[in-house]
Amino acid sequence: MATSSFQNLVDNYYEALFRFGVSLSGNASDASDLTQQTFFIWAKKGHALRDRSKAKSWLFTTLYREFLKNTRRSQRFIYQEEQMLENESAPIEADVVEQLDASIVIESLSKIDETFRIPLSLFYLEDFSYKEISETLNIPVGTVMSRLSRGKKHLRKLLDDSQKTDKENIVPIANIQEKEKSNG
Amino acid sequence: MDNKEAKFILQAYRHGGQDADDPKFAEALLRAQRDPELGKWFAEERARDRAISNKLKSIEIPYDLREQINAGLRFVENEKTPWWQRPSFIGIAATLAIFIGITLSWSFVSSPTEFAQLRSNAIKYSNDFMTVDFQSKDLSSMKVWLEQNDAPVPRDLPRNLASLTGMGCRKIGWNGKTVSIVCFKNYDLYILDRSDCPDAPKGKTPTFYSKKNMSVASWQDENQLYLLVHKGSKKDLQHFL
Repeated sequence: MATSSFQNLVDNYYEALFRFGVSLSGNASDASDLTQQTFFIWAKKGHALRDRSKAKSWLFTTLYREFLKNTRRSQRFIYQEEQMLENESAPIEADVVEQLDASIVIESLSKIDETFRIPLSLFYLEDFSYKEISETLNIPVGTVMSRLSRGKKHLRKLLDDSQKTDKENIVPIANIQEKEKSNG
Repeated sequence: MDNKEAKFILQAYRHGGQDADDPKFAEALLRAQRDPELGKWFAEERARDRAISNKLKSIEIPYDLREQINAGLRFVENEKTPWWQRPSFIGIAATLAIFIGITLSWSFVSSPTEFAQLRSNAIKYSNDFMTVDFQSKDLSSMKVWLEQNDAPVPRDLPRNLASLTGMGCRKIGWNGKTVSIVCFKNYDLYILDRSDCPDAPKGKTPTFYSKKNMSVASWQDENQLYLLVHKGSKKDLQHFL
């Protein structure tokens, strides 16, 4: 393995891998570990990959597998999905999303079941095509499309809810001062 | 193609337009150009996708992450030093010799059969297993999906088992062979061609096996081998067979 080619690979993908790690694990610390572990595995085993054009897909697949190895989930399926989408409201507007804090978007994404969150993260974070997602996660193309469609609905619902909660939490300062006075 | 189907396809279209030449999107894109309502929906969809994508891409990267990765690389490079040049090689060699000795003696005592490997892998997989490729409560729909995906299809299942509410199914590879998994709540049914595991116990009468809190029942019909894996007792399994 040439050090320079490894360095290129690191420079090209470490940020995207880290962000994908955040979307999987929900925190920066685990995402850093996953990213480092992924490059560590590449340094040891990457030479076995004959087709270098597949390096990107290999790295994301490896990070995903490392995440799965570290995760033991007792709950295998999410039952709330159907219920959650039952009362579907109008989709949140793009300009409303732009006003939201990035942490709210990340938090909302982390609440979605992995089944939908992982293809959605690859779609939004790294501009993976549906074919690349299918290859990386080893699931059929039709399944990718279905998971993207459902995942988007989940995410929008969560973003819409968080935006409404934010609005409800906004209290005019005058009201707070009034309350403080009355409390003595 | 109607608008509903077009929307389903266009939801996988990347907002940056990278998929413009993909024939899979051609018909849906054309429809979006011609139908004002669909066109408006598609424009909003892309704007929303762009906004979400930009927010997610704004996640800050730890300032020292790149350096930490490079430190890991130096560690791997050091590992490539010829073994005879490393001061610890005698210790490693001695440990290796002991390990090989133990492994060899173990392999003479116990060489797991292919079926035992399959059963063990199925138990582990059911413990770790998270997702299905196709979600459905209906066994008939799952059979159709498995058939379409060239995976083994369950045929004559015991009545009690077939009446359970399904959750979904998936197709996996095992030692180069194709295995189907049909998931019911708390029960996973593994199906493969019986010729893919020739040392499995023969016959329609189930054979039971338990390890820790997991139980497995296996049986065969004319063409297929079945393993029903359950986190619970053998008694629970017997109820369905």
